[in-house]
Amino acid sequence: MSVDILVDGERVALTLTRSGDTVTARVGEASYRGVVHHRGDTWHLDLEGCSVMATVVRERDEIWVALDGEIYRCTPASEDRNDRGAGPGRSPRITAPLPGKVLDGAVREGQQVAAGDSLVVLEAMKMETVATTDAAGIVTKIHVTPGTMVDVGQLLVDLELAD
Amino acid sequence: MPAVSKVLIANRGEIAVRIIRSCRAAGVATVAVYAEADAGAPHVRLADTAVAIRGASPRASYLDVAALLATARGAKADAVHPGYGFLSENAAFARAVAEAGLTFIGPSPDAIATMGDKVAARARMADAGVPVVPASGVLAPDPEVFAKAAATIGYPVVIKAAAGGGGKGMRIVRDAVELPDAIRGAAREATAAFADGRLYLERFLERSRHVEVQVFGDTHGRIVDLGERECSIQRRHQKIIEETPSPAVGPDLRAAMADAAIRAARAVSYVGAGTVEFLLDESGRFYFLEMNTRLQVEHPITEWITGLDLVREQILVARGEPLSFESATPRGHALECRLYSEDPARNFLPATGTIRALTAPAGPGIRFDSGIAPGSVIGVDYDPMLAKISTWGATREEARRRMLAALRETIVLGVVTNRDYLREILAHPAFIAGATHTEFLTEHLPGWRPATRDGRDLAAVAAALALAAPPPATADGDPRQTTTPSPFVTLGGWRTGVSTR
Repeated sequence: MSVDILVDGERVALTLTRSGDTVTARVGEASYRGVVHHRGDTWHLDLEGCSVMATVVRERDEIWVALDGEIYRCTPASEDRNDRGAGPGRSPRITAPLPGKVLDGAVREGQQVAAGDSLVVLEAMKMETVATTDAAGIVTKIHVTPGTMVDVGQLLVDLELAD
Repeated sequence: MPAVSKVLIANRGEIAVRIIRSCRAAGVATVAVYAEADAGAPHVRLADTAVAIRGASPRASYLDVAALLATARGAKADAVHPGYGFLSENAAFARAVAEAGLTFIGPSPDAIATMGDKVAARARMADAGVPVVPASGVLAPDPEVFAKAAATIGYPVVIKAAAGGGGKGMRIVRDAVELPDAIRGAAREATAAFADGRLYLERFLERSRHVEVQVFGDTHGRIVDLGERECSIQRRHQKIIEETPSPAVGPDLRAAMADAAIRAARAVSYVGAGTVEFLLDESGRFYFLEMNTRLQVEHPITEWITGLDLVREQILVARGEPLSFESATPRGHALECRLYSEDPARNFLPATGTIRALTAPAGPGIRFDSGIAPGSVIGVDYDPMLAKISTWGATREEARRRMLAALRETIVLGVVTNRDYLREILAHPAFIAGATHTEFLTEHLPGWRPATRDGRDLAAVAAALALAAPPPATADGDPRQTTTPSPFVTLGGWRTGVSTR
């Protein structure tokens, strides 16, 4: 089985195979082979060359792994939705990065915007957060008005990219 | 003498937990209050009694004065501790508590009111001979009015909320063209935070340090200082790392700042725990910023170096007893890191989620104050601070190394935190050198991204194993069903897709 995992946003392509209780994982040039067992959230990865303990939990579509004092947030690459405001991917659909209340539309429909511009101001946790664009373009549609309560991922603004 | 035998804690989270602990050690009973969403929270479990307050919103529960007082009466509490935030600096609340025949654990309503109006407080301090930063009075929210005032004061300036504090409603402005946006944003934020949108302008001191002095007054006329805390490491104008003593403060400056702080406290006949905040410029001059009339978030570092329990002292003072100590002799160095649910790689965007695993750090010289537990839901209703980690060392370097060790041991899974960002600040040569100032983070760690770590690929392997498991069989929300996918179930699942033999 081949699967791509995003670890803190970085893509890791791996291949998993199994023979009896033995798991073999190939990641690029490296390969891990051994037995994996767990009790609750505590996983033991008894691998050739190293034996490590990890804490592995699931929260929504994310798998969190704590390993050797480090924390890794992992998501399946295929499910990496590009719906997070000014995240990577130059999304022309600007969505709410977190649930909150729309305070102010910083732009008007038809307005030219540059990369990094604020499009909508949101309030959550008593603080203001702006939804920005990571690409230049023209605002084609604003879907919210001040006072609207929005959920995470809710569409705020449509853009038509300049390039 | 006022009785303080049962205290209602009008707060939540780590500070409620922290207050309950000192009350218990002092033999004082506690009453916790909680919004419905906090029903299983640590402060609710830890208190002797806990009472739900059904507010219109999760925040409103902790702000409902009538409900809080009715709860205190019903539970036969004789005192109220407001913690920090919420109603802690609300003079009307302090007055209402007293009028209900209860003891308010904090300063007088008059002291709260005077220091709460930042513009009036500045004037009062200037009269008392405390140095203040050049500033305007309250200004009409008109860019032209602000531009005129800014031209007199000199750029850069900082817009501040008259009712303010805590970094809310603050905007640094370097040029008049930025004024309209900054005024609008600051007014809106100030209105949301304090229900008061009045603004004023202050000269912005570049590369200055934020140094504050802990003061304590009792009802016998004593006001003492407990040394300074340096809180220059800030993002969004809010502190994330504090330390004491300040690397920039020598004995002469310390004495001068302590003297000014005590003068400030005396000017309002201060009783209880308070903090006088100063800006310290590059030339070593300092200016009064504001006085916070409550226990500060970062008070544990003062407790580390003085050996005092400040909540216990608050209780003594509220009872009308004198402070328990003659003078505080500071020993060693202490650091505090604030663990926030936020993403430093995405402009400190608050992060939400459910805490699925939590490991607190421990060991010599390490303290962990938190109000979270596995299963705690981190939403958007409250401040996103999850925990405070503080460390003590005989030297600054020892405290710093202990902090790095403590942060490595602090494992929160399920929500994004600023843990690794804090570790990187602590490891930065400029931090090691003690060369901190309020723009440290934008200067030294702009565009911060998490580093790729050695265990990345192995973590991906574990995640792939976990993800290949079938979805949870039950939909009743039992977290164990979703948190512990079995690798063996996973292995079973592969057979259909992969030929393994």
